[in-house]
Amino acid sequence: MESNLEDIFWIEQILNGKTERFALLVNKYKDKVFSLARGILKNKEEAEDVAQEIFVKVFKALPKFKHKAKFSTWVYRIAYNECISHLRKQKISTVSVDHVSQNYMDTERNNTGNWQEAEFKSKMLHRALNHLPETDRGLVHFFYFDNLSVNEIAQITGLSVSNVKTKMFRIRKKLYEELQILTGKEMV
Amino acid sequence: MNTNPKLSEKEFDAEINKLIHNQEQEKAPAFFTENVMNRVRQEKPVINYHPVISKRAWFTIVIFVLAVAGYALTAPASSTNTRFTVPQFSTPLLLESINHWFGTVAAGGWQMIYSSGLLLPFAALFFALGLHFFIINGFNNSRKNKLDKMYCF
Repeated sequence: MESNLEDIFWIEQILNGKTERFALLVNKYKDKVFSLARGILKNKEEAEDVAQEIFVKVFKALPKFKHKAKFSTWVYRIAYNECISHLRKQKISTVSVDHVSQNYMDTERNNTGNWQEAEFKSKMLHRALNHLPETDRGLVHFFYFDNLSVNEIAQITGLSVSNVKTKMFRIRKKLYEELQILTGKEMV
Repeated sequence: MNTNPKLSEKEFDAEINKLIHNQEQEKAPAFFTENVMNRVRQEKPVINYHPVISKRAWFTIVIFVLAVAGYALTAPASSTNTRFTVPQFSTPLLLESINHWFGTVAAGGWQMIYSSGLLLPFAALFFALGLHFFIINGFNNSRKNKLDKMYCF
């Protein structure tokens, strides 16, 4: 609540012509926005370009911010939409778990790493996340990394609350299957 | 050969939650803010123009003035009609002439306003405007100055 009041204060200053105050908002949200862009786009340089573009769009759209939601939610919404539309423009195809090729399964199943090692776990998790569609990666980022509520995620993505819950359930299931394939673990 | 132990679905869920929460969030690259601000400075400044008297303030003032005018026009007429006179000052001849002229115009104008029943609405209008400018605006500006001192460094 206090964070949102602070944001509103800075926004009022910017809308009164003090453009340099925008740097404070950028500093506050740059890590979260960059992390989201990196999670969805995967490529670091691309994520940096898109993240910068997101902040320029946020600046231009500031007069349209009507305080109906938190400023952070509003920024996330712009960031999410920008990342998704950037990907769609490039027509990058992501591999869905349902269409994993046999070759991939054979090479990836031979991971002989130890599940007890944190590095191995982290590597496998990254691989599993990279195989989710971009929209699902966004949801995972909001839910697990940013600890946003289902309502906030619904506001950001434009989906209904029940839709977000259903998607999260399916994403968890896909991650289980993906991690099983990658690590060779079996369900009891 | 994979010697990893078998995990149940619940344990898997807990593992995934733990793994994700242990991941370090990616940090933005160096000079990110500077690069963004360089691009932002090339854009036109975003300024929201606010009217001096807001719509809500105008609405309140008009309703107040209409209410007072309504009362002034419909109230029963007073039996006495006192004439306002400008107080006389002791001044040199030129100033005396100006004073006399001013007194005549002011008294005539005053009588016109007073007798037409517009005195109260005019007084109400000036009162409302004064209230808006000096008290409400003053309060808002002092609040903004306080916040400015707290957050500006």
